[in-house]
Amino acid sequence: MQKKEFSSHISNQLNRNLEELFNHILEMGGMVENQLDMALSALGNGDVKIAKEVVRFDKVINQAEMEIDRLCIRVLARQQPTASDLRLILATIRIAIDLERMGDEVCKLAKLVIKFHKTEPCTTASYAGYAELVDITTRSRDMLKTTLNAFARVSAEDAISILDQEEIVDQVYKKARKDVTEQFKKNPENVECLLEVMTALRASERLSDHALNIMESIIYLVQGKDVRNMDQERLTKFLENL
Amino acid sequence: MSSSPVSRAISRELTWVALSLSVFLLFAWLTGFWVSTLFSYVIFYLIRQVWCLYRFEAWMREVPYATPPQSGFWQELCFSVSHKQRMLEKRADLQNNKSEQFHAASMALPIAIISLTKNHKIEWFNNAAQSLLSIQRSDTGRKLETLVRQPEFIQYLKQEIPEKPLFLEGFMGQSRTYRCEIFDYHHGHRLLMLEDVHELYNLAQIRKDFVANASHELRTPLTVVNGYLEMMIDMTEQVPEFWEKPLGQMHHQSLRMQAIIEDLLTLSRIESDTLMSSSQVIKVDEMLNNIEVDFRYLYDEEYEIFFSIENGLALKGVEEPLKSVFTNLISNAFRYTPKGGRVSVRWYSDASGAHFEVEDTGIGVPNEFLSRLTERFYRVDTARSRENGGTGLGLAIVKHVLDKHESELKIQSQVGKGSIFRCDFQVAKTMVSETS
Repeated sequence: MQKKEFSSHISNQLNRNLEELFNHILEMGGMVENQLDMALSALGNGDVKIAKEVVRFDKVINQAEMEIDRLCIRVLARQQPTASDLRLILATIRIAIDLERMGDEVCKLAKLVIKFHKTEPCTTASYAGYAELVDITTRSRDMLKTTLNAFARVSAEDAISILDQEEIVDQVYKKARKDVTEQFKKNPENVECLLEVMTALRASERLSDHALNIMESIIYLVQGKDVRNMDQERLTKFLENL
Repeated sequence: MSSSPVSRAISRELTWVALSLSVFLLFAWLTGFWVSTLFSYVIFYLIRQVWCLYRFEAWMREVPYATPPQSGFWQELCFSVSHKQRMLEKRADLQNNKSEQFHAASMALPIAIISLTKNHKIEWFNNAAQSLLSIQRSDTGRKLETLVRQPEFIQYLKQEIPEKPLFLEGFMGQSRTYRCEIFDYHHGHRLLMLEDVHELYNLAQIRKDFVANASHELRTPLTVVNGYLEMMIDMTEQVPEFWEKPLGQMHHQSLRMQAIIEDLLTLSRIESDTLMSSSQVIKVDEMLNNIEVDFRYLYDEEYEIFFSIENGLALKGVEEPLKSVFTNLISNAFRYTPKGGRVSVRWYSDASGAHFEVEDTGIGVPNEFLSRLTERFYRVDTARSRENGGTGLGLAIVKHVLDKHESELKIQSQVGKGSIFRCDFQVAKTMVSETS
């Protein structure tokens, strides 16, 4: 893959704006990564203090998304970029949205920790699916890291390596769902807590989906090909040709 | 023949000219065509020079099979040129070897090192950096913050001239502590160092916790012992006379122990990072006036005491620790000054900020001990200090509090004449309060 260079334009301003955009989106990605790391340690230790910080940090991420939107609009309006530059801007907008959603999902995870701390009768039974929750979140964190590194290196090959992870996440999620459903039947008095776990599980599963979306945006940026909603056969064929 | 190459070249050329000319002259003498022979000799000489020049050039350009001209001064010239070239090559090899060695050394370092341009683009990095930050050789030329995206790290990188190293916990998804530092070097390049300090960091934490916990745990038993001792001293009828003196000693020592524990607790409180969060404007002039009253009450008959306090000069800081700094320094002055001496305290400001100064005419400190004075429990003269009843932690507390206020303790001392202890506070920390 060739290196993405921002010095190939006659217009210096466009170079600068695009590079700024590129750095901004990765900086925002770093924030979400950091938030995920904090959420993971909050989940692992049941640390309410960190969990509250995670929720507070979401505001900063939302701010970053708005900033990226503003930059995109400015470039579109002033320089009317084409081809790969236009793709960069489209991909950036999409990635920013995905990252912001991820921030929201991470908040849900943190809120689980806060709720568990508040509600007294959450017994060991309600920890069904908790190990899976941590597992999925860790995998999503790694997926996000891989995709962001792929974006920084403008490399589609690096990005698609997360596809295997996504399959594992799906299986773990299915198993966790089954466990929680069983607990629902066995311990109906724990409904509130179990419901919280379910919400968090769903959120962590969504995290990996968003990471996948980011990967699709990266493929779009590098190859100019839209792989969203591609059926499995065509997708494997396309990925083989990459 | 001289050993100098230049004269050797000339003498060689002259020999060559003499030999060839003698052949031509012999020919002219035999045939009698003097003029035309001489003329053709000149032509021959010119042709030979041009031919040699051509061959020399070919040799210099490294045309295949070209050999250097071998006659007259050309031979000498070619010899010097090739000699010089060999020397240069040797030196270049040496330099190359050295730089390779240097490169290998930086690669082998266990500390991660990354060289960056002014815009944080990666120039080169060593193996440790590669594994720690999971960057690849192909990443040279990319911005570092696109690959290492921790918000704190990016913030640190963006600073123009970072003063303090950054401590990163949970960096790159690892639960270890790293020390990160950035330097400017070699015409606007920047060098980033990343070191695993997890063990050191933990040790420091354990030490702090240990001191805090141990002193906390010791406080209660000591209070009990102290209480009973006081009771026994008060009950003079029941205690045999023989025990009165030992009891007094025990009481005295247990009080001293209590003071040490209080100081240790103060120190660990100061060391905790949250101290400066309750920072506010402190009217130092009023505080010092109160302190003056206390000390005059204690020592006015035995010492000459001078206080000169600038009115309305205030500081941004935390009240209790600052007060303990001032009282510690002043009581030290009294403790180490023989009776009848002079202690003067000044609180003043100038262009470089505010200063608190305590000058005494005491015993002084030998210069070689000055740098160690602020260590915990450090004594210049152990026996004497015990008599005086200090805890050995006073100056350590002073140093830590001043560190937190970004100021410094300066000590000047002459043995037998006295010492000056001065705290310099930065201009940014000083204020002028309006009420006074």
